[in-house]
Amino acid sequence: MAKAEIKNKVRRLRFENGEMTQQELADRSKCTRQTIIALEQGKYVPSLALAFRIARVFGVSIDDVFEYQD
Amino acid sequence: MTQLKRRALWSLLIWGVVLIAIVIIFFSGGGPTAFLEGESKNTLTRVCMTIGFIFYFSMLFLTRIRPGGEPLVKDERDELIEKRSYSIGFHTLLSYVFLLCSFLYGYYKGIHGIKLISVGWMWFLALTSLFLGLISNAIATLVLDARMSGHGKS
Repeated sequence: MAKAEIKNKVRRLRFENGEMTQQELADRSKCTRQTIIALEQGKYVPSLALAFRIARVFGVSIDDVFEYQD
Repeated sequence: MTQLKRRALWSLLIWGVVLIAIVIIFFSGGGPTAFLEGESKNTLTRVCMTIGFIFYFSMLFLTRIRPGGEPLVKDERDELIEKRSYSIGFHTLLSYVFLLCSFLYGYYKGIHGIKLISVGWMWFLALTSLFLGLISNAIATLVLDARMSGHGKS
């Protein structure tokens, strides 16, 4: 069975939002900067709750941040 | 640096030093039999353990999360790493106890034909398994933190 992947646009959205720093995004989405780094590198997939918090920080829907790929 | 990583580094340092000190004390001048007879060795071991625990609990106190004091230092990814490292530490410990017991059995019975061994080995097993468990947990935490991979639990 092929492994499903979840891609994200966190890095791009940060730059589109006034070059928001990783620390600022981490503080506003209630996680650590290390988690944001891992997310941007595609090494970590967040929980649904964190995914919603990140999307809310950028003022977009969860689909605009995360993309599910079969 | 996250609280989890800071604690793992300190834990590795503290228990690494204590483990090395205890192994040196145990094997210096005769091994398990000498360890049982030498009162000074027992005292030194207790001193090492006490110092280790004092440093460890002081470290836990100093690296605690203060409400409203610092930005968030622990999140879901840290909890995931913590869970996995406990599991790795537990399995490492199981393997160590099994391997050491097998080695002692094979070495004494198989090679030397001895059916009874010094009870000093029990103390060695007790001490080293305790500290090895803590050390392997700390190493697993650092490795998992460096790899940064995983999925959050929804």
